[in-house]
Amino acid sequence: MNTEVYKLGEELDSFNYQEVQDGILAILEKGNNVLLDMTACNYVSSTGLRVLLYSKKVAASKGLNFSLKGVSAEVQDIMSVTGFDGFFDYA
Amino acid sequence: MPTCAFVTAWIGGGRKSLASRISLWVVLSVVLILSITALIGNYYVVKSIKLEESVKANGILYIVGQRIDASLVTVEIAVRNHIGDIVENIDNPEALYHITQRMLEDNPGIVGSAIAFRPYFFPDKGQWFAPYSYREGLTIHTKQLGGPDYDYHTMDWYQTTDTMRNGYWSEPYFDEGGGEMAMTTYSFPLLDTGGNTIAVVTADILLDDFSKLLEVKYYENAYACLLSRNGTFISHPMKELVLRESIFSVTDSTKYPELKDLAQDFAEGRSGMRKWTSPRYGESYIFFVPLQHTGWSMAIVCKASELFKGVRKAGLFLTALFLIMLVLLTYLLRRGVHRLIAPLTTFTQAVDQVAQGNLQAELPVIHSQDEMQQLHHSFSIMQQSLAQQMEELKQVNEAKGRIEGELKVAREIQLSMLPKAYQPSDHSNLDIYGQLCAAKEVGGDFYDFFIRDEKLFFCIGDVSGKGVPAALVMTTTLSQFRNVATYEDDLQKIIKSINKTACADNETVMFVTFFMGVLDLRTEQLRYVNAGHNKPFFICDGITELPAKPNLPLGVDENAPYIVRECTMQAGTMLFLYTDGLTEARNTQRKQFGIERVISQLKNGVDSKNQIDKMTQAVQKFVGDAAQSDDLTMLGIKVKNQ
Repeated sequence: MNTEVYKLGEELDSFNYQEVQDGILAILEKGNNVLLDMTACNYVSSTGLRVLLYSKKVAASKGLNFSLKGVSAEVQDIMSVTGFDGFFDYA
Repeated sequence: MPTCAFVTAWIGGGRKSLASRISLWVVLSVVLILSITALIGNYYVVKSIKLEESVKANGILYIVGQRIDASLVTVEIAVRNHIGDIVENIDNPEALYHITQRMLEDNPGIVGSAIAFRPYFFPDKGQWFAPYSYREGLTIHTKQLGGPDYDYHTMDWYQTTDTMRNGYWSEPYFDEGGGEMAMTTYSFPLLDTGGNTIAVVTADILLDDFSKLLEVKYYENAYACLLSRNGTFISHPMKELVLRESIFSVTDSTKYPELKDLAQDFAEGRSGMRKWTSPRYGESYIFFVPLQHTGWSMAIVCKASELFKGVRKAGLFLTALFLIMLVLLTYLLRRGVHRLIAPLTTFTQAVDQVAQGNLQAELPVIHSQDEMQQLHHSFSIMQQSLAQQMEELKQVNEAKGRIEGELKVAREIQLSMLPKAYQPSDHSNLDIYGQLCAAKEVGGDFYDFFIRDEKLFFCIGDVSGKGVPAALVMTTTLSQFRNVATYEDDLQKIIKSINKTACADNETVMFVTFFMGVLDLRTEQLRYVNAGHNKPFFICDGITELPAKPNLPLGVDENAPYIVRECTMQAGTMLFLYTDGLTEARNTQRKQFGIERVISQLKNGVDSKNQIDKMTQAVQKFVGDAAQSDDLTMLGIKVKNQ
């Protein structure tokens, strides 16, 4: 199984969540693992969190991996505020 | 070309319709084609007319020539007929005078006749003996012609006849002393058995008679002339030319070089036709033939326009006819084309009507099986599909409008589910105020509070995502909170129950950040549980975040553990709850309002409504003209000091 990297921009929110979600789902649809590169990202809204959550769920249902990489301190804060600490896999 | 201008003006008629342009095109094409045809036709007509006229002229010349020849032959026959008489009376010289006299009596055309004997044929008559009769008016005189002063043996007519031993017509000459009459003489030799000339018998005729024959009646502008073997004019309308000039002298001396070739033709006895710019008629044609008996030539000079008078008349007639036909053609074309393309005009009207929204516009009825029929077919298909699409669009718009309207109602219902301010009469010290600033779309924020058994149950939540799915999840979560909290005091159980509902069939992973608390109004004890929601603030002497472990939001994991905490909330302390719509409100530079600005707006000692209004103003000022993208919800709870 191949792992494909998906690079996030500065933000993941209601303005671009659909595009990101479609991009990640397209990789999973090919049967590849997804490694979400969040190095550039410094903000994830609740809508953005839903994308991550949904991606993880879809990946799990296909027996694939969905993992994060380069999670910034700001995003980590958001994660902990919303209780998503330790919910996602980190590569 | 004035005709074209006229036609253009007439069929153009100002506005250039398709019919006019087609008509103009056809008419101009017809004009062009017919003009070319006329030019070619004219060339061949002129050619054949020339041929015809030349045949006609030759006919005239032939007839006139025949008449001239006939009168000449008459003279020749008359002369020969008298040869017998002369031979019979050859021994009686005096009787010969009578013979010459009878010659004149029997032949009115002969003006003089002589029997000129060779020298000393009658020894007693001497060197010259020539009995001669001639006319003077109606009288016939007779005399002896020869003598020392009229030595005829040396004359041309005598010598030529003697040499040739045959009949001979002399070159025309003026009768000396006979009134300047132009004459010609036929001479015939009388031979002995040895073939020697005994005498030359002559007959004189006036050339004037030929002039009458030459008066050409067939043309108005034409004249005929007669030329001798030498080219001398024997007969010509210009009398001064007769016998004084020849065609050679004319061509040599004047400006008619064209006549040189003609003179050559005459000299060689040819017949034919030549073009000549005559001083009398201008452009002319000369038709000419030689005369058999005399070797003379005869010619008719005819004005060119005279020859082509018929052609020109016919041409004028045809041109007039052509113009009339052209006008008729234009008229018929205009009518015809108008008729043919009339459906187009109706189509245009129908299209206009369609453009104005009348999709049921009547199409013209087409009977012909041509492009118009195809156009009709295509057009009606277009009309039908347009009508169908418009109908679909209308339905979609109606549905959309209905959905929008219904969504608006749903939104209102949703908002009306939320309690606004709560001031129960038996809890006058309780200050509680909530506010939800909804984004444009149906959103997922909510809050709630109610008092049961001297306990204030409250919650605030935010469903991730927007739209109808978020609204449905919000409603479900809110209802579940109300239902369960009505009878259940255990927060752990309440939240587990709500989470279970939120997780059920949650394929799209709509999760809810949720904060719930119960404040015992008697003991000031506050118990609360946080499911991934923003931590509320405690505002008293200082501002602190309520310590709360951020559990997972609702709807993520059915079996997620939720930890309930508790603390004391003293009178005068305000609990300020909010959703991320506050901290994440953005201005036009896409900067977030942020937690620091929130904290800076929090003040001790104000009531809930004032605090929330103040916060609202600060956010609005920060956001400016930027569109609100998310619901913004705030809830303030305070137990006032007694």
